[in-house]
Formats: sequence, structure tokens, C-alpha cells
Amino acid sequence: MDKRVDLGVAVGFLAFGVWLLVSSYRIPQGSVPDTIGSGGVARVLAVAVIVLTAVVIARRLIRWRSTGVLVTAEGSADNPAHPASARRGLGMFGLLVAYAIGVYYLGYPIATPVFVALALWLMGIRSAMMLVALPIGYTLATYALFVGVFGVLLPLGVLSVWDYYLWFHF
Amino acid sequence: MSFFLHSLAQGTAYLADPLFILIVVAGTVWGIIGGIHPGGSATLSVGVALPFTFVMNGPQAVAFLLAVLVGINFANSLPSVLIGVPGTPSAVLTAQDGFRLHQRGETGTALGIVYLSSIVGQVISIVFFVAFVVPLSNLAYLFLSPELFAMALLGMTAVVGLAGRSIVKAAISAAFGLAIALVGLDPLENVPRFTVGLPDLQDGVNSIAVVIGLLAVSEVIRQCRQVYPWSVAKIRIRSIRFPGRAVLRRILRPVLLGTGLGVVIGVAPGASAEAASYMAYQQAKAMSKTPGEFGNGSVEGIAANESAQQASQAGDLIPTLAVGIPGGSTMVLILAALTLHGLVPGPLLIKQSPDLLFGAVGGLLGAAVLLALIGWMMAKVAARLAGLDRSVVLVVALALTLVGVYSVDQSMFDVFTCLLFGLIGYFMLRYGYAVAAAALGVILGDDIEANLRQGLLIADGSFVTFLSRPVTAIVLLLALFLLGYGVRSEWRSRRHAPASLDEGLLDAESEEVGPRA
Repeated sequence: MDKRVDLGVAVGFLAFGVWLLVSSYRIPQGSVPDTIGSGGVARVLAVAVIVLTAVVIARRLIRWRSTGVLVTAEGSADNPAHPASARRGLGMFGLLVAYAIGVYYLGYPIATPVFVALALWLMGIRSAMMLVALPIGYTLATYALFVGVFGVLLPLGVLSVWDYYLWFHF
Repeated sequence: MSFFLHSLAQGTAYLADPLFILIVVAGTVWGIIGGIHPGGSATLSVGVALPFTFVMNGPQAVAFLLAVLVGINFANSLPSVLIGVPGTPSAVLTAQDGFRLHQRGETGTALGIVYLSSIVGQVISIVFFVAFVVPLSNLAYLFLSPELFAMALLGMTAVVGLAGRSIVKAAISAAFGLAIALVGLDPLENVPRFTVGLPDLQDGVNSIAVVIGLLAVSEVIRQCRQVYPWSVAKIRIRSIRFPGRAVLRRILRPVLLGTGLGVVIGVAPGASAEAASYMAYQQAKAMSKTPGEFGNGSVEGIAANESAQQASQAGDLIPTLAVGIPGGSTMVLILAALTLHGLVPGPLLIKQSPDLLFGAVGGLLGAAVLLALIGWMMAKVAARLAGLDRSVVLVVALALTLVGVYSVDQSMFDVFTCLLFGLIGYFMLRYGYAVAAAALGVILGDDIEANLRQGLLIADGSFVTFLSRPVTAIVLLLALFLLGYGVRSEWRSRRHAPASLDEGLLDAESEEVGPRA
């Protein structure tokens, strides 16, 4: 793993700990105060996070010069027999965020086939059949299951004007 | 004794309900499809399935998720035999022996042993499961707020102490998860906390969205880093024959051994199916008349390994349901499913909701029966199912997860929450932070805080009085021991671990990196 990212993740947790500690002192006072109070547990957790991340950061910095950029993996490593790309993983995350926004504004029936097609393309699938038939088939199947069977009102976005029909209220 | 028999009878009675049967069938088939793909983890399959439980009641949800697990544990050994790649780490030894048998043209023998051992291990372990859970749940009257706090803390330390490479990072993860659970209204004083001005956070974060983000979305994003096919050689299904009587006689003892060890090891908090299967394999080898066959196509080895895997799941379920201490991330997801139905994980769970125990028994039993009916056929068609495109499976899993999370409360805010924690979980997974500890913290955080503060009210605000209660003191000591054990293990492993890439494990990072020599 990249020791710089490892350090960055630890700094992220450290920042979270500091935010938690500061916020715990800003909680409004309740009417029935108890021994610990509303912020007591949060303060203990914040201090634990700050101290422990400081240990992780110190460990990393002490060995900084004696190790290369890539160090022994501490988390889930990739399959060593195949190439890996962090950009693809994070690209998929970006696509997911865009999909969620798309579902909200455009609606599930429009955003879903677009997302599935783009995600398959990102994963290296180039077959026109797969990029067209699978997204449409998946969208129709899940829409029928969730709206028709489970009664979930999936977001319709710009299609809301037809909600009476699209939510099967007829 | 009467409650033991009553539980078995009630669990069996559930199987007379057509809807319950349908749910168990759906769960088992889902598990088989999820488990059949090499590298498709149990956590991912259960995580994707979890939101679907919103249309079920508590016992149905537990039965569904357990059926998924039974299906996965059975199916993850099929690619081990057919392509030599284990579905999960616990199936590694099956890959070793099963694939060798397959190469020798004895595919039917290997698949038949996987099939039989899974069913026998499953059925016997259900009896053990009820036998252990019932007496444990009868101790529930001993538990007031201080004891409930101590038990929840023990669950956290078990996951942290036995997390693996870095106990410091596991402890950070647990504290992070517990802190996330504090968001929302204070349970005693009813004042809002850590809501960052968002009205959607007034009632706290949706624990299901957070847990699925941490455990399932993070894992799929991690798997999307790599694109490769699950290559499966074509196999003539008609040529696969069920093993003969001589083989069945040979596997009887290792199956019983694996089942016993699986349950016992599964009960220990933090012990995995992997540990159970390895230990059963070693014991079967020690007791075998032909130890030389182990690693070279041993039918006894496969039998011990498979039965231990299935039985460990029932064992894992004992502390999860009886006292609220999960053994791993899949059990954390089971607890998350309970919270979805308004149930509180902990020692009072079975006492307050005995239906859950009956549902669990029904789910395990139903899945075992279903495996007996369709397992052999599924084993034979596994090669075709495993040939599904990995990229398609990952994309569909992601899309299904998001629509599932939305469906729980029909809230887009939950979807964005899930995505945020998916990203956080991805970095945690990659850099050695225990996502299971964080997820458990999110689920237990509320109760840990509420019980601590209510316990202190009982003890007039005195920590000494709080700790002088015998059960509380014993449980807290046990928690301290587990934490100490974890610290010692990490210290030992760090003394021998290489620090840099030159000496240690290689890991592809940031750009396309080719296969290593």
C-alpha cells in the first residue's frame, strides 16, 4: 500500500477526532443532567481516536525515510495475478454519486440504464448487446419488482407528471 | 429441555408457511448464486440482500439471511473443486483437495462430498445451536443496564482484539463507529448532537445505510479496481457421478469431527469459518489412516473442511443471537437486520423475541432441506453459473444495493449516507482499518451509551459501585483480556513483519500495475 495515502487516512481520522471533541462541548444542556452528560461518551471516544491516530501517524513517520513509497499491505490486498487501478475503483464511486443525483433529478427509469451502461463500460465491457440490453432489462426487472411487488415508490424525477401510471396506481 | 424441544418444533412449524418457505428458497438460491463466484464474499452477498428484508418481519428476515449464508457456505466450495479457486478463504483447503480430484476425473466424488458434508454439518449444527442458545438466553434475568453495557463492550473488544493485523487501527474503527451512532437525539436528555445542521440527522443516521456502505459498497468498489474474467473450463455435466458407498463410509467420521469442531470454534467470538475449517482439516489428517492423501485429493479432508464451514455458521450465530456478540462482519449484518425491525441486539433479545430463535431454526432447517433437494443439481450446473461475467455481477450488485437502501425508508438521504460510508469503508478496507468493528459500533453505540448512563444512574453516579456488580466485573475483565490478547498478538507479529515492499506483500496501487513475478 502507498504509505502517503495511509498517512492521509490517519490524518482524516485525527481531524474527525478533533471535530468530535470540539462539537461535544457545544451540545445544548438538557433538562435532566446525568453523571456523564450528553457529550461525555463522545469526549472519551474523541480522545481515543486522537491518541490512537497519533500512534499510527508517529509509527509511519518514524519509518518514513527507511521505507519506500509502497509498504507492506495492512488491509485487503488486490489479487496479485491481475492488474489493479485505483482510478477505476474511485471512478466507479464517482459514477455512483452521479447516479444517485441522476435518480433524484431524472428519475429511476432514466438514470438507472444510463448508470448500468456506463458502469459496465468502465469495467471494460464493450459488447453493444451487453451495453444496451442488460441496462434496459435490469431497469425493467427491478422497477417491476420494487414498485409492482414491494410497493416502493421509486423516485421519478422529471417523469413525476406521469406518477399515477408509473407507480401503478391505475 | 422443554424450551429446547419447543424451539425445534416451532422452527420446524415455520416451514409449513408457504411464504416462509418462499423466503428461505429465495435466500438459499441467492446465497448459492452469490457464493458460486470466486472472490464473491459472504459479506457482499448478505449486504446486498439485507435491505430486501424491509418487506419481512423479524423471524422471516433472520431466516432469509441465514438461508443466504447456508447457500454461500455450500456454493463457495464449488468453484474450489471446478476451477481450483476458492469462493472464500474458508474453502481454500477444499480447493487444494477438490481440484486435484477434479483433475483426476473424479469431479462427481468431490462435488458429492461437498454436497453431503454441507447438509450433514448443517443439520447437526442446528441441534447444537438450539442447545447452546437456550441456556444462554435463560441467563437474561441477570442482566440490568451495567451488565448490558459490559456485554456490548465485550462484543466490541472481541471484534477489535481479534481483528487481525493492526489492533490500533481496529480500535480507531470501533471508536469511529461508536461516535457515528451518537449522532442525533441524546437518549436521556433529548437534545440534538453532532447533526451539523442537517434536519435529516435529527433522528440519527440510518444504521442500515451506514453498515451497508461500510461493509458492502466499500467491498464492491475495492473489487472494481480489478477487471478479470472467472474462467471456467467446460465440463460435461452428464459425466458427473455421485460418490459410491465406500467413499461415503470413509467420510462419516471426518464429517462428524468437522461438525463438532465447527460449532465449538464458531461459538468463540471473532473465530471464523476459516479457523474452524483449518482445525477440522488438521484433526482429520491426524486421525486418518491415509494422511498422505491430504493435500493431494483427500475425500476425508474435503468432508472435514466442508462440514466445519457449515457448522461454524450455526456456532457463530450462538453468541450473536444469545448475547449480541457477533463473530464477524456477516453476523454484524444479521444484527443490523434486527435493528431494521426495531429489535435490540443483546442478552435480552431471545427472551423478549423468542420468535427470532424459531425463525433462525426454521431458516437453517429449511435451507438444509432445500440444499438436500437441489444442492446436487446446483453442484452440477455450478460451472455454468460461475461463468457469469464478473464485471456484470459487480455492477448489478452495486445498483441493487443502492435501490435496496433507498427502499428501506424511501429516502435519498440514506442513499447518499450509504455512498459516503462506502467511500470511507473503501479506504478503511485498503489501509487496514476494521470495517466490521466500525459497523458493529454503529449498531451497538446507542445501547452502549444508554446502558452506561442508565447504569450509572442506578449506581448513584459511582463508577466503583457500577463495577462491583459480579457479572459486570467478570465481563469487563474478559473484555480487557481480549484486548490484551490482541495487543500481544500484534506486538508479536510486528516483531517479525517486514516493513517495506521489498520484503513484504506486494500490493497494486494507484495505477495499472501488472502481474507480479
